[in-house]
Amino acid sequence: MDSLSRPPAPGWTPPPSTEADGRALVLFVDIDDAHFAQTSERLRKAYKLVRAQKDREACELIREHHEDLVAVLLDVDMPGSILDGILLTRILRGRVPAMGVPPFARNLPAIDVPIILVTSRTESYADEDMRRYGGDRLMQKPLEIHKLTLALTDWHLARNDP
Amino acid sequence: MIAGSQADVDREVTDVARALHQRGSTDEALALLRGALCRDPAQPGARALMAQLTDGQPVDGPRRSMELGLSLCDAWVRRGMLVEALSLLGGTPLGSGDMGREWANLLGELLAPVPVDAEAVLVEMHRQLVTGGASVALTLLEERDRNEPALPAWATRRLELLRWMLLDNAASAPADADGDRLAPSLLAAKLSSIRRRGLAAALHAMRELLDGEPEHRDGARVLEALETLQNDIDRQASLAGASNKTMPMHGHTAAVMQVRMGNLDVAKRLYEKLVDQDDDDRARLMLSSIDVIERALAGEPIDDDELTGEATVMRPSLPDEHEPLGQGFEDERTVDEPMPRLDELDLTTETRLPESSPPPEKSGKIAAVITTREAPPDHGPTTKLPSADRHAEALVAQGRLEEAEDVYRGLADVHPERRELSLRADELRRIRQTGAVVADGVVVRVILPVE
Repeated sequence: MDSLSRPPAPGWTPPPSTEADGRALVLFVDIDDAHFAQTSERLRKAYKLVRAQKDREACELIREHHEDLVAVLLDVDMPGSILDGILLTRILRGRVPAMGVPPFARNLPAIDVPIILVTSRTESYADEDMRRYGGDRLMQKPLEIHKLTLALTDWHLARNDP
Repeated sequence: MIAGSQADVDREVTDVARALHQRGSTDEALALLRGALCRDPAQPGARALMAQLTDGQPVDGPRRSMELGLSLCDAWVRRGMLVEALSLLGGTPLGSGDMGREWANLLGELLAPVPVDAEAVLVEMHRQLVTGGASVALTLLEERDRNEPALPAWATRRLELLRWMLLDNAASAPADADGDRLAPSLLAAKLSSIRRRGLAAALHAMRELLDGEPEHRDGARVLEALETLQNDIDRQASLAGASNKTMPMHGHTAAVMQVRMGNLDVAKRLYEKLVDQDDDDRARLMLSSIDVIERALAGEPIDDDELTGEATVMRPSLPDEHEPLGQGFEDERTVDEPMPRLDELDLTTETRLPESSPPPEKSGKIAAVITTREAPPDHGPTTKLPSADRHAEALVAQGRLEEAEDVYRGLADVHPERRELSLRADELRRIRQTGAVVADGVVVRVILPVE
């Protein structure tokens, strides 16, 4: 281990991740309470999460918050939903004909933010496939704040590549 | 071995990206390269490597052996290369260790997107953070923090994190109550907060003192000195705001940073170098101000005669077209007149030393050789820089000295009456050619080139 002379980092007890205090807003779609609690704890220092458990609720929250979101996190499998994370991604990116979209997911507002697909089985999916469907990154559960921030930063820098 | 010069840093970045790719962390390698290119687009090696990675072409490993350790990460953070540091932590096992994980998460917090409805200055702060402008981001946050309404909690947190990363918590040093009690004089006690990075508090204390004792001569001198320092800090902040990249931490920028941090000794050394190398009048003015403050802190009387002596804090000057710098002499103002504040100075007023005058002394001396010749239009560097000049200074701030010099040469052709343009071009050429800057950690995008 390197020996470094730094004073201790400043501490901070942030408010709960679901509390509104002006932090960047992220939609998190996952039915797993334990995973949500864990991720929420890890991200709360920089992100405020709005959570949907299933696809229908996710669409409602997108309609409500689409102008404020900085990212969308979708569970790949989304058990208990009609749509899985990949299909919802394709719909959000406008890559599914209206006929193939369930009524509750039609006419969703366009969102121009990164869509991160999360799973505990990253080895089962190819990152390239996720990108082809319109996702921006495939990430391992549980998410960590530094990995999410790096993915979002990279997305922004890529769009403004000098 | 951690790179010293900017060119070394650029090579180091591509080597680390190769190493990350070799480890299978291609996303992190790409993020690293994008961060580096946003910080400085003029890195052909990084651009070529990114194209290779994006196209899925085979990529060689690092060109030289290197240790991907926390020391490297620490050095990058101190240089403001935050995206690069985060990529390094995320793409290696470093981010799994206790300290590495803590750093990664702190960087993750700091660089996280700002809320969509954040005010413009905070949006710009974030843009600076992710494009290599960490010192500019710090300046923006600190400036905003001085105003109402109060910063939102998340922004205050980022200010703290940034201070920790760039300045080792310099802003949050504990109050030195014992120091106050043991101060050698009332003036020194009132001034002691400057050593705790409390220039604003020291200014306030001096004004308060003079409100109660308007005739306090030393207090007035100290207030004047403090205001000179504050003016230069403000000037550097406005230059930083005009730039879109990290300010190069050399010369006045580095010295002012040390003043802000209360490291008067270090600031003094940097100003002395500026005086020695460039015969820099503004540095001389700052030196004399620091000297006044140090005397007050030490409880010594601030003796005008001793300070003024034979020479010489000069007003910032420009040479006459027909007479080289250091020649000629016009009507003098006596040293009994108040020393001009930096923001009052007309930097285009021509000022020259007499032909027979001795070279200016280093520090602690005040001279006032000030001409009253009619000044040309104000294009001085302290205020209202014309946009083309601002562009050139932005190039300087990015370390693109050759391009900046070209801009100044072009401007000088168009405006031959503005001698300062060709002088600035000459100065930039001298910096590039001598490479003297390297010895001082100059023209390197570092945050703390403390000797």
